[in-house]
This record gives sequence, structure tokens and C-alpha cells, in this order.
Amino acid sequence: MKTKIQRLTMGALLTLGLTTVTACGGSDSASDTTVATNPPAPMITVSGEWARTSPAATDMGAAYLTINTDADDTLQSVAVDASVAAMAQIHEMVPVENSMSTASTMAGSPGTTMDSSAMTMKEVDHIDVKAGIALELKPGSYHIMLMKLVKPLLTGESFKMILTFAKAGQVEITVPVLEDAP
Amino acid sequence: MVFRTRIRAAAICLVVVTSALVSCSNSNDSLDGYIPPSPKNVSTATVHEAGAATPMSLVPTAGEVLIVYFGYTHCPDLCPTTMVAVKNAKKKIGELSTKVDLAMITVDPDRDTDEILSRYLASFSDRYHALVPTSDAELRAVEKLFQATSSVTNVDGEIQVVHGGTAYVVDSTGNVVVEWPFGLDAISMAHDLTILLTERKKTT
Repeated sequence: MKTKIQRLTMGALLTLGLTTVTACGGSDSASDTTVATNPPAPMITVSGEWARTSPAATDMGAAYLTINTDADDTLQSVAVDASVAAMAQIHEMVPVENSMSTASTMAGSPGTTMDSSAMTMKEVDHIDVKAGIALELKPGSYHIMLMKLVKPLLTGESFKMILTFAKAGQVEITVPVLEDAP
Repeated sequence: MVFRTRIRAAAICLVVVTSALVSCSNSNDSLDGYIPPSPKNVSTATVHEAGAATPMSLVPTAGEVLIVYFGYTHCPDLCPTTMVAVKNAKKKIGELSTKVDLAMITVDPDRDTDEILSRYLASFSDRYHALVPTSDAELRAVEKLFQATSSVTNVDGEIQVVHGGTAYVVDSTGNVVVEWPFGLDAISMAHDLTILLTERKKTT
């Protein structure tokens, strides 16, 4: 699934009646003169969005997606409807230094070593998105954490999520719930 | 580092694929996971199992393997990713999957009760062991055998959990025969399970 986001203001979007593809410039109140001299808002493309089926007995969920842009921008926040989860946050898995984990030898590659260090999850305030470089939110890396799910995320269902960028504004996407990465 | 090594491995894989048009995985009898550089025997480990009267030994019966994972149910990313990969790997190996057992040891026993962890694991497997250490000493003792590590800390009311993303495969001698780092896919897991279970069949 790929969602093309156009350079449109929220007002224009409302006029067009678009519901699932939304982007708005960060300066709706700008005068015509200002708009004429400012560069256009980045064109954001979101693809591969999915959320994992939530296991039983947990109220945590995770969503993943890939962001492309034609101009540098910053993903500032994510949001889901209160009927889905109490909160959505951008998280990142990071290695933890000084773990007790051993260095192991890779099967079939004698001499190659790895340190299977422990990891933890931390909230990220924002993520910079560079023009022409895909930003992947994927398992074991950046992801969107859905906290206090109101109800389980069931395979085959979907929900709306809003990504807010510093320049491109809000981007609304529909996230399908899948058991595994598409 | 896990990822640096995997990136290097991926680069090697690409070279192989582009030059010989063969997959770098499953092309031979070597395991896709990692072999501990020195023997790692966990036969002395016992952990409280939900619903069981006695602690569980982590040694599977002859001809079978036990996958051991240290995780917690509030883990939205690493744990379900690995559990789904294990689930899919078992699907891929057909009848051999009856020889694959799964144990998850929670590193967050304060929040993961017997009932919660059991329900969680039932989402991924019809055969599982929900292991909930009854004391910190019990958790540390079993972690020490696997050379794993974990911690749970409360930072300004937010519970932060550290744990390894590795899944360990134990054979009937109690040895960790292969370790699956986070991110190893179901195809590779199925490949390793097939090798391990076929070898066990030959020797038992």
C-alpha cells in the first residue's frame, strides 16, 4: 500500500473531500505573499504501513511504515484515535552497552564474531527524514508504539493514524493489522 | 555488534547472489544461527512454570529441541517479532514441528503473572511453557547459564526493560546448540530446526 501525499492545505483538502490522504502545510495562516515566496511543503510518501496483531494478555501494540520525502522534513509526532489506544509514541530499540552476553561464532563463518548485546526501548522526540532516503520504521528499530490498546488489534482490521511533520503537516494513513510484515 | 555483523553478512550474501544466483541461506547443512564459541550447558537450570507443581528443567526429551526466549509481555516489538518467526518456522517444517518445544522466561515477573504469560504464549503456539521466575535469584541463575542479561527499572514512573533479543535452541543434552539473534527470519529458523531435528533422529 502506498499513499501519495499532495502539497495541499487543509482547507483545500476539506474542499476536495479527501478522507484518507491528508497533508497540510505548516503555515495555514500565511498570507498569499508569504506562500508565494516560501518553498512548497515536502511531498511525503508513506508506504508499507502495518501494525502487528496484538498477542493476548497485552495492551501494547506496534506499527511500522516507510517514509519518503522529496525535501528534508521531520516526523514530529504520531497519533491514533482514542478508540484504538490511549497514546501513540515514536520509539526506537537501542543496544545496551556492557551486557553480559557472549560473543558467538557465526555458523559457517569461522572467525566472524558478534556481540548479542541486550537492547532496550526508548521514546524518540522526533525523527529527521532526509530527501531521497527512505526512513524505515521496522521491527528492532524505530517503531510506533501503541500504548494501552482499547481493544486487541485483530488481523484483518485497520485503523487510522496521523503523522505530523514539521513542514508537510499532518498525514493521515490507514494501517492494516497483520500478523507479520507484509 | 549484532547489526554490524548482520550487515556484513548481508553484504556477503548479496555478492554471492549476484555472482552465482544462489541463495546464501539454506544452501548447505550449516546452521544459519550462531554457535556458542564455548559449550553452553543449561541442564542445571530450573524455573517455575505456570500451572506446574514443580519447576521446569530446560532439557527437552530425546529427539526434541526446546526454544528458550527471555522476554516480557509488555514488549511490543522484539518479543512478538521473534514469537511470530518461531510460529512461522514451525509451520514450514510440517510434522517435524511436533518435536519443537517453546519456553519463554519472563524477565518482568512483577507484571507477568502465570496467567498473563500463559495467555500471551498461547497466541503463538499450542505447545509452550510459561516460565515465571519466583525470585530475582531464580531469574539470575538461569540467565547466567545462558549468559543472558536483563533488567527492569522504574524511571519516573515509566518501567524500562532491558533484555536480549536472542532465542536459544537447547537439545536433549542440555546444550545450547544454536542461538538465533533478533531478526533471523522464519526461513532460517526452519532451516536450522530441520538440520537439528534430522541429526537427532539419526542419533536416537
